[in-house]
Amino acid sequence: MFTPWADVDRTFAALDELTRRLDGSFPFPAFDRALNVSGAPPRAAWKETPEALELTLEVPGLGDKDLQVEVERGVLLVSGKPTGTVPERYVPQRRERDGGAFRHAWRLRVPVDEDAVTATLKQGILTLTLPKRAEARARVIPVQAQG
Amino acid sequence: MTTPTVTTPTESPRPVVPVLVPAVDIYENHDDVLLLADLPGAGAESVRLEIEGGVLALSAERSTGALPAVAWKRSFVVPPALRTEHIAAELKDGVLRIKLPRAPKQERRTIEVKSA
Repeated sequence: MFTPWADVDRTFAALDELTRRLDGSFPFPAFDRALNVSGAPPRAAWKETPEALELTLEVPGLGDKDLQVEVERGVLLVSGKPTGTVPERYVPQRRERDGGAFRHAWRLRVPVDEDAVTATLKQGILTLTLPKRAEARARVIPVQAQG
Repeated sequence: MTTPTVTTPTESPRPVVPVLVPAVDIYENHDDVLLLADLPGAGAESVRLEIEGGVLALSAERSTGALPAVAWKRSFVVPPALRTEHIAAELKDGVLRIKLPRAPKQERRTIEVKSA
């Protein structure tokens, strides 16, 4: 079996994990305090296309009513507050799932169209699409050949 | 002249994915034991629950979407007081809910000892 990219993928996955941990260890206190950030940030992945930024987050167990997404002045705020973490009429025996509330902020590197942001939730995965504003989109310049 | 033979590398049908241990919560009451496991992005068709020799084995996969593909694996020892033949499981919002009903309490019996 020859899968040269698997090693590369694993390395980048390890780097992602490291970045995530470092982000958690060295937050921007003023930034976080100002935005009232709390709780462990959910596992996330960013993706950039010529038209939009896409953020994908793991939010297992949260319904659409438990999540709130705000975009304001170049900052994206996502907060989640699980409702009914302990099922009714049950006594907890072991608790590992991070059912805690979180509120996390991301500074957006490019200007986005704040009114056109969409959020979809499926199988515990929240996907946010933030369309870039026209001036931030990549433009394709046609090359004209001359005689 | 012989034609050179071209060997195509056989692609592995499943790429190598990291295997994670899912976080679980276990709750109980008089009627059953409830196990909740976080499997964000796992498709219901990828979830496998197997019970053998008093061990419940859970495995699931996330293979699509923007987040990296992962596999989850975890096993649980099921106490004999639970009825493994009546396990029910459902996947909702990326959380697997497994319900293991308790066996009805055995009535206390006194066994008479006869003198031979």
